[in-house]
Amino acid sequence: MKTAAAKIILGWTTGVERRLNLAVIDINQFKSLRLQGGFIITDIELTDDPIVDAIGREAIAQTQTIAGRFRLFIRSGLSEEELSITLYHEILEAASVVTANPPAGVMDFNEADFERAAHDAHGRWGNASPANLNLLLQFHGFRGQ
Amino acid sequence: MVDRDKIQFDLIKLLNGERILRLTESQSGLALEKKLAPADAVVRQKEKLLSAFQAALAKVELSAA
Repeated sequence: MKTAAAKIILGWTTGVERRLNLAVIDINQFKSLRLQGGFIITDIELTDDPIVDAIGREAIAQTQTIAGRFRLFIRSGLSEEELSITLYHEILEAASVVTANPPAGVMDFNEADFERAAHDAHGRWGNASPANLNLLLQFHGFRGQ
Repeated sequence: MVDRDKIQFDLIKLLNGERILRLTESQSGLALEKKLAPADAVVRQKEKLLSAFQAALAKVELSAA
Protein backbone atom coordinates (compact mmCIF):
# COMPACT_ATOMS: atom_id res chain seq x y z
CA MET A 1 0.00 0.00 0.00
CA LYS A 2 1.33 3.34 -1.02
CA THR A 3 0.22 6.42 0.84
CA ALA A 4 -0.13 9.58 -1.10
CA ALA A 5 3.06 11.55 -1.45
CA ALA A 6 3.55 15.12 -0.36
CA LYS A 7 4.27 17.92 -2.74
CA ILE A 8 7.92 17.74 -3.67
CA ILE A 9 10.25 20.36 -5.01
CA LEU A 10 13.22 18.99 -6.93
CA GLY A 11 16.18 20.96 -8.19
CA TRP A 12 17.58 19.76 -11.51
CA THR A 13 21.23 20.00 -12.53
CA THR A 14 20.31 22.81 -14.88
CA GLY A 15 19.51 24.84 -11.81
CA VAL A 16 15.88 25.03 -12.81
CA GLU A 17 13.52 24.05 -10.05
CA ARG A 18 10.72 21.93 -11.17
CA ARG A 19 7.72 21.47 -8.98
CA LEU A 20 6.02 18.11 -9.03
CA ASN A 21 2.50 18.32 -7.74
CA LEU A 22 1.98 14.72 -6.68
CA ALA A 23 -1.15 13.41 -5.02
CA VAL A 24 -1.81 14.52 -1.45
CA ILE A 25 -5.23 12.90 -1.14
CA ASP A 26 -5.15 10.29 1.64
CA ILE A 27 -6.82 7.29 0.06
CA ASN A 28 -7.20 5.56 3.42
CA GLN A 29 -10.18 7.81 4.16
CA PHE A 30 -12.14 5.97 1.44
CA LYS A 31 -11.71 2.47 2.87
CA SER A 32 -14.92 0.94 4.22
CA LEU A 33 -16.73 4.07 3.10
CA ARG A 34 -20.52 3.80 2.75
CA LEU A 35 -21.89 5.74 -0.19
CA GLN A 36 -25.21 7.07 -1.40
CA GLY A 37 -27.04 4.39 -3.33
CA GLY A 38 -26.12 1.63 -0.88
CA PHE A 39 -22.56 1.12 -2.14
CA ILE A 40 -19.45 0.58 -0.07
CA ILE A 41 -15.79 1.01 -0.98
CA THR A 42 -14.21 -2.05 0.59
CA ASP A 43 -10.71 -1.37 -0.66
CA ILE A 44 -8.69 1.14 -2.63
CA GLU A 45 -5.06 0.88 -3.65
CA LEU A 46 -2.56 3.14 -5.31
CA THR A 47 -0.01 0.88 -6.89
CA ASP A 48 3.42 1.38 -8.43
CA ASP A 49 3.12 -2.02 -10.07
CA PRO A 50 1.60 -2.12 -13.54
CA ILE A 51 -2.04 -3.19 -13.58
CA VAL A 52 -1.91 -5.84 -16.31
CA ASP A 53 -4.62 -8.27 -17.30
CA ALA A 54 -4.35 -11.87 -18.55
CA ILE A 55 -3.65 -10.83 -22.13
CA GLY A 56 -1.06 -8.21 -21.27
CA ARG A 57 -3.06 -5.01 -21.51
CA GLU A 58 -1.89 -2.35 -19.11
CA ALA A 59 -4.44 -0.26 -17.25
CA ILE A 60 -4.27 2.98 -15.29
CA ALA A 61 -7.38 2.26 -13.21
CA GLN A 62 -9.64 -0.65 -12.47
CA THR A 63 -12.83 -0.73 -10.43
CA GLN A 64 -14.23 -4.12 -9.43
CA THR A 65 -17.80 -4.22 -8.22
CA ILE A 66 -19.76 -7.12 -6.83
CA ALA A 67 -22.99 -6.77 -4.88
CA GLY A 68 -22.46 -3.03 -4.50
CA ARG A 69 -18.99 -3.44 -3.02
CA PHE A 70 -16.26 -1.49 -4.82
CA ARG A 71 -12.53 -2.27 -5.00
CA LEU A 72 -10.40 0.31 -6.76
CA PHE A 73 -6.88 -0.03 -8.14
CA ILE A 74 -5.23 3.12 -9.44
CA ARG A 75 -1.73 3.62 -10.80
CA SER A 76 0.32 5.87 -8.54
CA GLY A 77 2.08 8.95 -9.84
CA LEU A 78 -1.05 10.93 -10.65
CA SER A 79 -1.20 14.56 -9.66
CA GLU A 80 -3.60 15.57 -6.90
CA GLU A 81 -6.12 16.84 -9.47
CA GLU A 82 -5.80 13.74 -11.67
CA LEU A 83 -6.36 11.43 -8.69
CA SER A 84 -9.35 13.45 -7.55
CA ILE A 85 -10.96 13.41 -11.00
CA THR A 86 -10.18 9.70 -11.38
CA LEU A 87 -11.91 8.93 -8.08
CA TYR A 88 -15.00 10.95 -9.02
CA HIS A 89 -15.10 9.29 -12.45
CA GLU A 90 -14.58 5.71 -11.24
CA ILE A 91 -17.21 5.91 -8.50
CA LEU A 92 -19.90 7.57 -10.63
CA GLU A 93 -19.40 5.23 -13.58
CA ALA A 94 -19.20 2.09 -11.42
CA ALA A 95 -22.34 3.07 -9.52
CA SER A 96 -24.16 3.66 -12.82
CA VAL A 97 -23.03 0.36 -14.32
CA VAL A 98 -23.75 -1.90 -11.38
CA THR A 99 -27.19 -0.49 -10.50
CA ALA A 100 -30.16 -2.35 -11.98
CA ASN A 101 -32.12 0.88 -12.41
CA PRO A 102 -29.73 3.84 -12.59
CA PRO A 103 -31.04 7.39 -12.12
CA ALA A 104 -32.34 9.02 -15.30
CA GLY A 105 -29.56 11.59 -15.12
CA VAL A 106 -26.83 9.08 -15.95
CA MET A 107 -28.74 6.77 -18.32
CA ASP A 108 -27.41 8.50 -21.42
CA PHE A 109 -23.89 9.23 -20.17
CA ASN A 110 -21.11 8.11 -22.47
CA GLU A 111 -17.45 7.99 -21.47
CA ALA A 112 -16.91 11.70 -22.16
CA ASP A 113 -19.99 12.60 -20.08
CA PHE A 114 -18.62 10.71 -17.07
CA GLU A 115 -15.28 12.45 -17.50
CA ARG A 116 -17.00 15.82 -17.75
CA ALA A 117 -19.06 15.08 -14.62
CA ALA A 118 -15.86 14.18 -12.76
CA HIS A 119 -14.17 17.43 -13.86
CA ASP A 120 -17.27 19.41 -12.90
CA ALA A 121 -17.34 17.74 -9.45
CA HIS A 122 -13.68 18.57 -8.89
CA GLY A 123 -14.30 22.17 -9.95
CA ARG A 124 -17.45 22.50 -7.85
CA TRP A 125 -16.43 20.76 -4.61
CA GLY A 126 -12.64 20.42 -4.81
CA ASN A 127 -10.65 17.28 -4.11
CA ALA A 128 -12.50 14.00 -3.83
CA SER A 129 -13.34 13.19 -0.22
CA PRO A 130 -15.89 10.88 1.40
CA ALA A 131 -18.40 13.74 1.69
CA ASN A 132 -17.76 14.92 -1.86
CA LEU A 133 -18.17 11.45 -3.39
CA ASN A 134 -21.56 11.28 -1.71
CA LEU A 135 -22.41 14.76 -2.99
CA LEU A 136 -21.51 13.59 -6.49
CA LEU A 137 -23.76 10.53 -6.28
CA GLN A 138 -26.58 12.53 -4.73
CA PHE A 139 -26.21 15.24 -7.39
CA HIS A 140 -26.66 12.60 -10.11
CA GLY A 141 -29.71 11.05 -8.48
CA PHE A 142 -28.40 8.19 -6.35
CA ARG A 143 -30.37 7.97 -3.12
CA GLY A 144 -30.35 5.98 0.08
CA GLN A 145 -27.70 4.12 2.03
CA MET B 1 -31.51 -16.21 -14.25
CA VAL B 2 -28.35 -15.80 -12.20
CA ASP B 3 -28.46 -13.64 -9.11
CA ARG B 4 -27.12 -10.23 -10.18
CA ASP B 5 -25.23 -9.96 -6.90
CA LYS B 6 -23.04 -12.88 -7.99
CA ILE B 7 -21.81 -11.09 -11.10
CA GLN B 8 -18.59 -9.12 -10.82
CA PHE B 9 -18.37 -5.97 -12.91
CA ASP B 10 -14.89 -4.74 -13.80
CA LEU B 11 -14.45 -1.30 -15.30
CA ILE B 12 -10.93 -0.99 -16.65
CA LYS B 13 -9.29 2.11 -18.07
CA LEU B 14 -6.42 1.14 -20.34
CA LEU B 15 -3.26 3.18 -20.88
CA ASN B 16 -4.46 4.13 -24.36
CA GLY B 17 -7.64 5.64 -22.87
CA GLU B 18 -9.97 2.82 -23.91
CA ARG B 19 -12.55 1.52 -21.45
CA ILE B 20 -13.24 -2.18 -20.96
CA LEU B 21 -16.28 -3.58 -19.17
CA ARG B 22 -15.86 -7.18 -18.05
CA LEU B 23 -18.48 -9.36 -16.39
CA THR B 24 -17.43 -12.46 -14.44
CA GLU B 25 -19.34 -15.16 -12.58
CA SER B 26 -16.94 -17.00 -10.33
CA GLN B 27 -18.83 -20.27 -9.88
CA SER B 28 -18.97 -21.05 -13.60
CA GLY B 29 -15.77 -19.20 -14.41
CA LEU B 30 -17.58 -17.48 -17.25
CA ALA B 31 -16.30 -14.04 -18.24
CA LEU B 32 -17.38 -11.73 -21.01
CA GLU B 33 -15.97 -8.33 -21.86
CA LYS B 34 -16.54 -5.48 -24.25
CA LYS B 35 -14.53 -2.46 -25.26
CA LEU B 36 -16.94 0.39 -24.62
CA ALA B 37 -17.76 2.57 -27.61
CA PRO B 38 -16.82 6.08 -26.42
CA ALA B 39 -19.75 7.83 -28.07
CA ASP B 40 -22.46 5.44 -26.84
CA ALA B 41 -24.28 5.44 -23.51
CA VAL B 42 -22.37 3.28 -21.04
CA VAL B 43 -25.48 2.00 -19.22
CA ARG B 44 -27.08 0.77 -22.45
CA GLN B 45 -23.85 -0.96 -23.52
CA LYS B 46 -23.79 -2.63 -20.11
CA GLU B 47 -27.38 -3.81 -20.49
CA LYS B 48 -26.60 -5.46 -23.85
CA LEU B 49 -23.48 -7.12 -22.47
CA LEU B 50 -25.36 -8.29 -19.37
CA SER B 51 -28.12 -9.85 -21.51
CA ALA B 52 -25.54 -11.73 -23.58
CA PHE B 53 -23.73 -12.78 -20.43
CA GLN B 54 -26.87 -14.09 -18.76
CA ALA B 55 -27.79 -16.03 -21.91
CA ALA B 56 -24.32 -17.59 -22.04
CA LEU B 57 -24.52 -18.40 -18.35
CA ALA B 58 -27.88 -20.11 -18.83
CA LYS B 59 -26.35 -22.27 -21.58
CA VAL B 60 -23.43 -23.20 -19.34
CA GLU B 61 -25.80 -24.15 -16.52
CA LEU B 62 -27.99 -26.15 -18.91
CA SER B 63 -25.07 -28.11 -20.30
CA ALA B 64 -23.78 -28.79 -16.80
CA ALA B 65 -27.16 -30.13 -15.62
